[in-house]
Amino acid sequence: MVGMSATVIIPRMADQSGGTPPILFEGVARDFEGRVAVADLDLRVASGELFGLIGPNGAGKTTTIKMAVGLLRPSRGRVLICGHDIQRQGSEARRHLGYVPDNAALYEKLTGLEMLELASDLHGVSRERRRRRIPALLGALELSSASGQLVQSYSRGMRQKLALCAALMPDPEVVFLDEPTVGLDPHAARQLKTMLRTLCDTGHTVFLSTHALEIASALCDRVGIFRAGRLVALGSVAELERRGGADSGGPGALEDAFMAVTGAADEETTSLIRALSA
Amino acid sequence: MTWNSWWNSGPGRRLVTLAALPVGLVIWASLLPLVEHLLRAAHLDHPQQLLGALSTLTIVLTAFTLGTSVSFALASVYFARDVEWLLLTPISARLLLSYRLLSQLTLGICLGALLGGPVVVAVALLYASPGVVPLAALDMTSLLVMPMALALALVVLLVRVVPASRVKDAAAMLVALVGFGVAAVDVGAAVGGGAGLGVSSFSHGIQGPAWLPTTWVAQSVVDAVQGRWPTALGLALALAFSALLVTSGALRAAAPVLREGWFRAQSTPARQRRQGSRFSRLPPFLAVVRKDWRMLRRDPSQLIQLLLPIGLFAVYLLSPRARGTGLGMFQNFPVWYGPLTTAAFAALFAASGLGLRAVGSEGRQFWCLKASPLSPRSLLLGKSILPAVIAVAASLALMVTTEVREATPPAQIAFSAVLLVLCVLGLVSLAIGMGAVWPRLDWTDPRRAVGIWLAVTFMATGAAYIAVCLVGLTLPLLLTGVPAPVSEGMAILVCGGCAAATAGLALAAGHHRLLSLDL
Repeated sequence: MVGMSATVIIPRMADQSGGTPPILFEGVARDFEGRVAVADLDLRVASGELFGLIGPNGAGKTTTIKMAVGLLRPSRGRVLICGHDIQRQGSEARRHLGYVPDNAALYEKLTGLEMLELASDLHGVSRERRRRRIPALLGALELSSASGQLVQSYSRGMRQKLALCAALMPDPEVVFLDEPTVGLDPHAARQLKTMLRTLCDTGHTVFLSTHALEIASALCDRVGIFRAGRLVALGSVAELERRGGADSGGPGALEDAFMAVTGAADEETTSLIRALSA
Repeated sequence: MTWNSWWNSGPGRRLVTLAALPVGLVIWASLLPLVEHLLRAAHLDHPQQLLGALSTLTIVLTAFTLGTSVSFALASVYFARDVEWLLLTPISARLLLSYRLLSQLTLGICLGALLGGPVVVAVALLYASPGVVPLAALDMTSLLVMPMALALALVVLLVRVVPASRVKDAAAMLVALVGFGVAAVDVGAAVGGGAGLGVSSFSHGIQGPAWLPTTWVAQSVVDAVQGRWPTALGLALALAFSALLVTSGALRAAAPVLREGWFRAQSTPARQRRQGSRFSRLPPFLAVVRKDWRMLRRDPSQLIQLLLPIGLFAVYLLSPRARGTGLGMFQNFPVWYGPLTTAAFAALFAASGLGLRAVGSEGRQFWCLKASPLSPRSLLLGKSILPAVIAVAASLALMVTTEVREATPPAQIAFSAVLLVLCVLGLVSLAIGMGAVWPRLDWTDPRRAVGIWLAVTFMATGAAYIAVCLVGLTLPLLLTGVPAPVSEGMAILVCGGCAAATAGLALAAGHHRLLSLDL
């Protein structure tokens, strides 16, 4: 999918960060009425890196991404996107990022094409550029034939693809994706993986959260494991697999590492036995 | 659900609600003497007059309940987020429909107690018959559950053959047509020398045939106030029995086709829209305007909600009855005073329909704007343009048409137009600001973008703003005897100042809230 129009969809970009990492979390924390959702997160993601955040439900992955794109204010600390504080210089920082939320709610009474038009206008994409990118993106994600239909008629997978198109429309330096493969069929999920890898290979930075360990294992340059709002492990997939005591690259190696690092294995077994015997 | 929502709202909110209850009760009780006085003034202390008024009231209420129930049934059965989950549980379709009906009935009873309660208690005091209160409550509950159940059944049966979204559009049209119809009949009757159906003519009343349940309610209450309790109770029991019969029949008819219709509603055939040149570039705030305009014109239910009150104002202003009428105290006022204030109130409804819900109508899609480079300032600007254009255009059209018909001099028309534009711009900004301070973003249906309390608060605040801006500050300047150019210049300055101060405060509050809004 990407191959045929990769030069249009994913143009190679020069590094404009001037040494500042495109994504930088500095002591970021978020509480919800006293409950800690994210605690003292320090993390930098380098240009061209595909970073994966994994962790159990409620670990704070979505909260972290929402703080990074400016939808949530951190209780402490700050997030810099391409050197701009997302809270203090919000508009400037958001010019450099694209965001695809989990289960994206889109404007039901707009067509797919109009959604992309809106995204282009909000990011100030030039007329010439949108003339090239809109058809290319719609074609690459197989939405061309549905682009004139109202979003209310789209399936969940089509909405997810449209949200991805809208996020990539301005060709942002940084792309945040929250559970990007949920709702996609295997073919579309595979397309997405190829696209993400190509994005990073062309200098973009991708930050994604996922439950699917095989995606993290197959795609990510580095993986962070979240547990109860804390980053408990960080490193390349191979490093994490070694830390988990598994053979690097072996089947289920990252899963074993994940269980070992989060301490989930024992808890999970105990709670499963309890639940089944209740 | 309501209880859970209140209980989980946090200790601060719980305390506020608990503190507000006695205050509300005191306000409610303090209305009683006023209502009693109004009832006496309308000669409703005579049982025959009361019968006519009650018949009229019950007919209007039944029609209103039937109309709104269609919309409620559609929203609660086909567009609520929990329906899919509920349909997958072993709960029977009839139980689900009964639950929805009960929710609506509970809401109706609460609203009825709040709005109609003082009237019923005042009637009981007027006739020294306290037993009327529970009897009237039973009568009204029995009466109104019937249109609710019938509307629910009608909607479920219709959605079996027509997609829910089209039924929703048709329902909006139906409500609009009923509204215009009632207004036209009222105006026609008034012009013809009759009483019409308007609120002012309740004391004349219209009496339906004896077999109508609405007449049973009126007769039951009148019998009770006259001490004929056996007849009163007999009618109440007949009503309750009819309500049970109608509800049971409606549920029996609707339940078997609920699931089939619901799944059909989920697969509405997609329609290809006309695609023009899509590569033109707009500044971000204008992109928001274009998006809102597209969404508005594709949603008939929203459009009708906006157009209906403006249409009703047009019917009122342009009817022959409106020409040259007025109370004696207004005789010395400028000729444009009436059309100006009426048009300003029409703009209040337009501002409520569009401006107040501008930010809230983003609902769960608000992330699309919030995660973009659009600044809160541009967002507020973009959200202000469409409501301002529509409110100004509609109110100006209403006012100028009326003034031209009344042969107002062109200079006076121009002057009143300047005042109206300034006042309406302040009003729209007030709506945008208030809507941004208290947005409801947990809905995907834009009609639910504004809570009822915010809507009521805005109507009260907006009405107060119009009163202060036009009547309290501007009008006195024109009645002082100072030469026209000076007094008119001062009036424009004062009106503009009031509008600018209101707009500045409201938009600053909205801007501050948008900066601190977490999604």
